[in-house]
Amino acid sequence: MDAVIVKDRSAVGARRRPLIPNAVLGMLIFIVTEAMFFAGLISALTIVRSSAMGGLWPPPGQPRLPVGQTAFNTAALLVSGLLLLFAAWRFRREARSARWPLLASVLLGLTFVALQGVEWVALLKEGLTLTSGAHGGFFYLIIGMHAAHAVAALVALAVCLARLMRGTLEGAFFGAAQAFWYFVVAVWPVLYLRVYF
Amino acid sequence: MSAAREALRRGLAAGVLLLSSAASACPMCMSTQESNRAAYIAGSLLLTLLPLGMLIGLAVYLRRRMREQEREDDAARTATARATPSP
Repeated sequence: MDAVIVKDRSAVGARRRPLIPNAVLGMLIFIVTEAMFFAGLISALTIVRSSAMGGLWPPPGQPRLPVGQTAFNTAALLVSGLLLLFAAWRFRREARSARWPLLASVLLGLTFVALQGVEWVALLKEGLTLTSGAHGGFFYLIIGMHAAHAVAALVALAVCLARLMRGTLEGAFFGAAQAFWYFVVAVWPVLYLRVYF
Repeated sequence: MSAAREALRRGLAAGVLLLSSAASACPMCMSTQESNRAAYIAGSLLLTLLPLGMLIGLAVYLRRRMREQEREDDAARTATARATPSP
């Protein structure tokens, strides 16, 4: 059953058609809940940072986060989002022509996740762990949850790519996957500015 | 509902009320530092306004889509009427 429907004014009966595909609407509702989840984490981090001893954050003796390296990762993620916008534009005109921008978007997303993983390994070697203090705890929780969302969205985009290759990709499914990836891309600069600086 | 079950319910409710102790929901929020108070207020504002903003945004988007569909329907009806030869 369609979740959001509109009556066609021209119809004598009750012909109805969806305003937006159910898959996209469901994803939008999911994104609203996820945005609140990240807002809660950011709010908690802000309060903990404000009560840090001497106003110093990260606390003395804790490793500094690699701001420069992560700026490169951020650029890769933002370009990935722009490429997905381009892929969606191409998909509306001629579906198969969206293959290359979609593939490039997925590859850049994978690059972001892989580089974040490399960064984590280096931080773990420096002694920043989930239990080493509030700094490590918040870092791995917030950035880790974002990475989990990124991986899930990349799986959805990879499924889109496979279906596109077979010629079976539906606009609704692609729309939902796009919305999820745009959320992952859009929330990242907020997390980057709040957690790394 | 049987009298025994009702008594059990009342006993449980009384037990919860009498045996529980006060809990601080957020011990971090109890600081008297000015920066901490500002952060607490900022967090409260964010968590209050963000869901309202998102829901209003979703409603505006759906309303815009509805109007677009109405315009498309009107255009389709007009085109059909022009294409149909008059008797």
